[in-house]
Amino acid sequence: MSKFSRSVLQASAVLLALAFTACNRYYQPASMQYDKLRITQDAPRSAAIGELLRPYSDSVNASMNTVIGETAVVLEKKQPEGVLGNLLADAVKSEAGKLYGVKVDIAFINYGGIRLHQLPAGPLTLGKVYELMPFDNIMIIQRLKGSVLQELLDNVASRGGWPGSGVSYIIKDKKATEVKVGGLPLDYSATYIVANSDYVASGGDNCDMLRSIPQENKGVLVRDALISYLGAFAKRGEKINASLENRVQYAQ
Amino acid sequence: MLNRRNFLKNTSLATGALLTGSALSNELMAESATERLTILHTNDVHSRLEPFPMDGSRNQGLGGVAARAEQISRIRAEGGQVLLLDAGDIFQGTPYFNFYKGEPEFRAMAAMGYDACTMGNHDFDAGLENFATQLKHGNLPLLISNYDFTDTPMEGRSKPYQVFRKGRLKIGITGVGIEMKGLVPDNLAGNTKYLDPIASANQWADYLKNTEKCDMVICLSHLGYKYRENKVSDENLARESAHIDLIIGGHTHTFFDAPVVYKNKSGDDVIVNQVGWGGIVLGRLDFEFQRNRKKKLDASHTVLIGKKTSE
Repeated sequence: MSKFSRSVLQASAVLLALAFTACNRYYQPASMQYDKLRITQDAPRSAAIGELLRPYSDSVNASMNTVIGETAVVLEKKQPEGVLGNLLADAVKSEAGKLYGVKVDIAFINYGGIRLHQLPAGPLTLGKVYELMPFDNIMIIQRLKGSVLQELLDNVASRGGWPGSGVSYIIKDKKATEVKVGGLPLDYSATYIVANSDYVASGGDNCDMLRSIPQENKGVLVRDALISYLGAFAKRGEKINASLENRVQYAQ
Repeated sequence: MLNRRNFLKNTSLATGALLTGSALSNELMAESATERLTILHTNDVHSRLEPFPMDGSRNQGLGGVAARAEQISRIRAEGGQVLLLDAGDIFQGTPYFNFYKGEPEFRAMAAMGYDACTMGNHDFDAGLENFATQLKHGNLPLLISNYDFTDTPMEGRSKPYQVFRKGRLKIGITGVGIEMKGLVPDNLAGNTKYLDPIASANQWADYLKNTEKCDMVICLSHLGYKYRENKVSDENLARESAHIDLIIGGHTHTFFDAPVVYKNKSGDDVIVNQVGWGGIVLGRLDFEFQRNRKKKLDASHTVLIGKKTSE
């Protein structure tokens, strides 16, 4: 073998070895450019996807575009207190009272369960209520001792406050203080009838204190209760509205 | 147009200058030393098949699968390698889900060519049997490493990871889900066992990097970006990971201004991104890969990130 060809072979061997080494971890991310592609109203749309959706959307829209009432103003979701939350909590308190035939002391709406930041002013469609409360949670009642109610409110306070109807409290150091039920100071030994979703009553949003307490359950969805309550405004010839009443405050 | 790239401040100036130089020389040099991959991603779409309704609310007219699909097909038409991923909470939020329990959501994802997804807490909402049924319409793998679905209707329907060949690149993807307790009702979670997401993700990322020899490891995560309270998040996962290059996040509905870069246990970069919710934004990450000459001998590896200019 000539000296020349041997050196070529050696060079090839080195290249081969390099190639094997490289195979071991061939590529590594070195740089990245990012973009946030906002899907805007005027963006071109795929006709094929439109076709795929049409049978679903025709049937959804047929029922969901039904107008059930009219909101007087924009109703905002806010912590510690917002008009939208107050409206929904009032709805559950009123509807649970009718459904279960008892005087409900308090109703709660878990803040995270309200899935719209606001209800716009104007006609309210059924679809909007579905977006507001998409979950198929059931409106239940429980009988809670005052001490358990305090535990529940402390959890609620640590989460920034939830809308409540029939209750007021001031959040201080992540605890509920100056709790009043029906305008009277909370009595730890009294029993209160509290309406909630079965999600919360079963321990959702860390409401572990409610897990072991029996639920009265007639299978009516929270959303259906809201539809009934909100629809009643129009039947009375009224626009849907609610007010801020210092139900939930942050300590100064 | 380097001055238009707007390099992020969290990349140190020195490193930035160094890599800017090398990025420039790469543009001038032959293409063969670099490979490119475009990652498109969504999270928390929440059954938003149609754009947000035109009712004066903040997001009116935004999103919708038809416009997203068109955007995606235009990007595919550019001819590069594309991965399309979703980080969970595909379900729940519009009447479509109440009516059809997720079927059109997954059918639309199949039509758009999603490569993989992970599972969010709301994907349990109509029960695991329903999720397993609807998932078939998606024609994509459900990647989740920290839910043990033994003795549930989802048994055998998920995978801890999958390896994707994209041109000359080998991309490993795993996924993690959030703890169900306090979030998913017991009757819906059923026998699903929640495992430590950081340990699970690290285990599979190690396997994907070191055994499968993947060029990149992606973790789809529904843990949430970060929390004030002590709760495991993408930020924790990034810092405590060893072989994950990219975390595509969800759950907290966070609209990132730009991807965030963390240092992992070895001092390597981990990129975290999340695009809010409702399909309002489609995330696009264009990665450039370079041949790694020194493999493990390399010091910590840094990924230079910059905003894509729309030219």
